[in-house]
Amino acid sequence: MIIDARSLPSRKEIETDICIVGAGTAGITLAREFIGTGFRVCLLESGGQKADPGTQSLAWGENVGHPYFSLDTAYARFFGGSTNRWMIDTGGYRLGARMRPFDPIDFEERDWVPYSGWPFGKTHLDPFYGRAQRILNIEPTSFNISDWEENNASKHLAFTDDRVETVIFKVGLRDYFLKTYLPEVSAAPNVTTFQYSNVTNIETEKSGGNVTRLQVACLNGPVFSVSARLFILATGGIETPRLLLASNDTQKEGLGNYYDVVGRFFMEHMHFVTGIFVPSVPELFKSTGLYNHFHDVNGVSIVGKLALGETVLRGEKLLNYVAELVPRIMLHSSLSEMLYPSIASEGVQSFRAVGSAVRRGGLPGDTGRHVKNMLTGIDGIAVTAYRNMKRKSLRTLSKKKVKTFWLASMSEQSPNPESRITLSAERDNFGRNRAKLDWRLGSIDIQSVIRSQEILKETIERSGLGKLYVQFREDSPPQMVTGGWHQMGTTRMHADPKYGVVDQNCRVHGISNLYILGPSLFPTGGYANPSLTTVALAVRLADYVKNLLS
Amino acid sequence: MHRWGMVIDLRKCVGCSTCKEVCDQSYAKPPGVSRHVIEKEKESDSQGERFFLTMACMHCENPPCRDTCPTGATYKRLDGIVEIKENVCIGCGTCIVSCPYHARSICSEDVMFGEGRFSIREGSGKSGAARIGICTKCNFCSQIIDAGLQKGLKPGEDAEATPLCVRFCISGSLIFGDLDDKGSAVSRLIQENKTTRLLEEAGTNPNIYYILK
Repeated sequence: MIIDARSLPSRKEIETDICIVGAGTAGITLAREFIGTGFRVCLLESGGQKADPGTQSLAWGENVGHPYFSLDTAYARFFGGSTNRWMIDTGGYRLGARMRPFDPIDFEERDWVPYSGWPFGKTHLDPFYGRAQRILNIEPTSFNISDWEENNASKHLAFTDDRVETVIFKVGLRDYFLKTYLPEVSAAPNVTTFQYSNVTNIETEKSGGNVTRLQVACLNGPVFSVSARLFILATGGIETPRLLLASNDTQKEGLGNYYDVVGRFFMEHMHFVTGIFVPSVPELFKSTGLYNHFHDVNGVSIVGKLALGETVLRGEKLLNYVAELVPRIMLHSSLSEMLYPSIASEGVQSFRAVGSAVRRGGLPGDTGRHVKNMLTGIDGIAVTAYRNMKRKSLRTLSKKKVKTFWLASMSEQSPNPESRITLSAERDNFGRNRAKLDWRLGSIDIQSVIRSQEILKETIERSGLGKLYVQFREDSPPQMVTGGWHQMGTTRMHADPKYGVVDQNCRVHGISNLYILGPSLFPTGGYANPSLTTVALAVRLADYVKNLLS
Repeated sequence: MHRWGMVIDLRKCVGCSTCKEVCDQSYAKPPGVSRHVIEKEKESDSQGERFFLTMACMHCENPPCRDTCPTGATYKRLDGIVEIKENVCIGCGTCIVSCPYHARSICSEDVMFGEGRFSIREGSGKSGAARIGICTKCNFCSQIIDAGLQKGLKPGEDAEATPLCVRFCISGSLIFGDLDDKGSAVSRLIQENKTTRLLEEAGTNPNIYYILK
């Protein structure tokens, strides 16, 4: 049953067994698991059936760190939540999101990644990953490359070493959530869904150890409350810490925030183009169908990407990393202009310095450095010379088209306590402090991408597949690095409350009946999109709650 | 004959960029060739709501891009859609300069996906390397409209015959239909609301109507 909360009498008190806040990927999955059980479930959703500016503007906040999406466009406050932002086009007007489990190494405590380590390993989560794949209709569950190659046109690239490997991503379609599961939840007799319901405060007993009820308000409408045996926040990586921090009646630093961890460790997947791969032979283009965007195999839309092997990640102490091959046809002149200025700049400058000195009858100071620059930048010098001498011919060359692959990187960000959500001084229409995001990328994040690119380059070129031009060499995070609407880590899971907001069962440390679900739980983020792991954690939490309340 | 147009209800737009993302993905657009989704810098109005403006080709009744195109590549269909004959366009950029809405771009590169995958892209004009160096812009997904009409569907009402940005808009702020049909959703919205069109003073007579907050 769906109830428009704006029609409720003011101050109404609703009583239920389980109260879930947020009808997004996590909340819908969780609520669906309780259908047909003896539990009364209350599902609160901030918005309605469609996005509306009034509700969506409640998400607006400050960005004070590395450039990020405006917060009110970074997640969705209406039915379906961020599922509405799954926008990978799989053809035939089907939109979805990339699905892949985290790798075993992502769950480990790695000595080169500060604050890494989940309370459990991947094998613990594997059964739930299996159920999650069933929910998302992306079975068979295998992610082995051999199970997803169809023919010679879709074989994985043959590398001569195991430092680089091909991994499979599947696509989960959003319509299963929006058009099948959401109506199922809405029709369930034991689930009552309230739309236009914004949680404004979490009330606890004086000790702070037990949540008594949620205060809920409608925009330009009534306020009401929900009491339950158990509360689960499934409102995403920005709104969940905001809600905890703003609920400070009994704990002035915010609920579950004894050790100042709530909101810290904000992580994203760093998305950016880092290099251009020019195949050795154009024919390679035709035999790389596995990587050429999403295509259907076994009834599932999949794509292959390039990742680094576990051995090299350990040996080189790298963060996890994956790159998508995006086929692009470019004008040769565009390619040259993109590649050679950075590659050639030092070489060309040294060439000019030496030439100038020679014309004056001598050699420049630091001749050795200039010679080294000229040798390493010989490609660029040749192009520059070619351009200067053959301008007419260049006009012809500029029309030549080159088939390339751009490397669209998606890399792990290391957990960083200074990368965080706090409360802004500005308030929303309910008088609640808005969120303030300070997204910070560290040197370890950038250096890891640079080294990963070098390894890709070495392996591709050693395997005779072509040439990889690494574009990204900067020490500091370039402005072009963006996220993927993957807000993770802000209420992370850790057995020790000094390092985590929730325990291994997703329960907020120190509060007996408050749970959290969603990517904000992730202690580390790997490179895989968070949706599949979120759904797996949802079914896992559902099992736990059923046992607990029974 | 139809006269296709769009109403953009800015009271509903949440700035999510779904229109832009779906368009970019489905047509495999190269970088820098996108719909515009403009955010108002100030955080919110007195109602606590932010303001966004989404825009693309206005499919003007008097399109300056057509009038200035030296090769005749840009033309106006009888149903009002401004199109580009990609095999006639020479990529001179005159139309880009003349469009007051910054709705046109030159493809400086092309994105190529696996063969046979992009049914949307197919039939929408040139594909692959042939697109490089020529102009591109929104065409109201004319191939989708045409295919839908052939199946007896009604663009703007039947999703399969409706431009992708409208079909996937999460807030219902984009409405498409026949401006010459007085019963169409777009005609009714124009009749019942105060609407405005961008840069009307330029004499372009655009077919995109905005409902302001």
